[in-house]
Amino acid sequence: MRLVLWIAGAFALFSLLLIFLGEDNTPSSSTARSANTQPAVDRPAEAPELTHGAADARVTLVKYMDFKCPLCNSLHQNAMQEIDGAYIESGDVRVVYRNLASLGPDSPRAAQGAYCALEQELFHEYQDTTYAYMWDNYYSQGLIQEGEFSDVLTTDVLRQTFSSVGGDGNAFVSCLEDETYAQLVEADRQLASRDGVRGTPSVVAAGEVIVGAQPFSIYRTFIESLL
Amino acid sequence: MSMTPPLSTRAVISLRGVAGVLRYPRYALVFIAMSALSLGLVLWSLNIGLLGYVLFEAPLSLLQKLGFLLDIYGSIATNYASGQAMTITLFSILFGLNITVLLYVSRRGQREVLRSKQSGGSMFFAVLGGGCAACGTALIGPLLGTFGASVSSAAIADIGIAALAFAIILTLYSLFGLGQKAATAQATQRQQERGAFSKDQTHEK
Repeated sequence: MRLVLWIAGAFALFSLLLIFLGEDNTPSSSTARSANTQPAVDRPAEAPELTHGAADARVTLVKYMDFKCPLCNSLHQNAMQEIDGAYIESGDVRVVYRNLASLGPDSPRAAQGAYCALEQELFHEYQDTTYAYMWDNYYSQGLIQEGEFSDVLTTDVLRQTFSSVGGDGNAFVSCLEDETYAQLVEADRQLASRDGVRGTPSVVAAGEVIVGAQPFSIYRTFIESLL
Repeated sequence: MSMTPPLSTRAVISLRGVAGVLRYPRYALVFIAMSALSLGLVLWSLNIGLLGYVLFEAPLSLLQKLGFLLDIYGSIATNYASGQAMTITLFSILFGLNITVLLYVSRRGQREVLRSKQSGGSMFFAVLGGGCAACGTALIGPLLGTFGASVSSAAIADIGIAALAFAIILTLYSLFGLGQKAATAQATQRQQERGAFSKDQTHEK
């Protein structure tokens, strides 16, 4: 009996340790709500936002992503599609996409590409094809390390994938080469830090963070609690 | 003078000891429960704050909250590459076995079960190895940062995998010792039963 209590105690202690470690990842409600303690973020109010869903939706999910991250790929292809069908189409949920581009030199390039694609109103198509490119050429073949850490999303690859969805490839490339949105991508990173997000994918809403590519049921319960 | 049997013999004895424990239905149940619990702990480790919010603050029914607690098991398919998913599952099974054999051995009077320290240590390393270390969604990254270490994403990914492998080695080592203790306890029990049986026969004569 004493041993059972000891094991239960060990589990409880361990959970407390996890909560303690997790506090860095997850902002407490007070941190999330007190604006004056948050670091200033250099993101102009009029700057373009990568969004999906009705502007007056009751719940806004902020999704931090990296086009190179395999779990972001998994989340995009699975749970996000179901969230789209169940909550975004009905107008209950809106998703704001922000970049936390950290996996290799092509991560920030692909992130800037998202804003360049938005100029031509092709962000969603760009997002779909870029994730599909990474999935088809790397992750579905088990080339996780190579896909994550090599410079694979070159300007040429991004131009080709963007052109394949009907975009103006030349305008897209000049936008990338001018680094028009480099500061905006940096601002996204600062926002991630402010939201207590350390990695991708992370979904933030109402001061809570869902880390990783979780099954749809996790997001569904969380969304239902906010609706 | 006693001679220590070779490693292979001790491994077989240990395996028999573990198998002997699982023949008892209640210990088999403890094994399933502890494996599921340890798997849940590893999977929930990245979202403990969210779990706290949903269980204690969210305006949801008890059924929804219980369902949420179990939903995390689906993340083994969505949040991990196949190799990592198999490693985490293997660790959880070994950890469940470890706790079960530990309980069995301790209930049979062998209370010097200090190897349980390795169980706690292995869980710690398994949690560190969970998540996508390269993407920053594993606890290993923030932990290294806490100690002031600055390591590349690729290196952090490797450290995460190493932590998982280390967790499995620790658990196996612990199980190796506990299995032998269980086998000894089972042999002692059999001898006592035989002794009682022969005494009964003598009385009958």
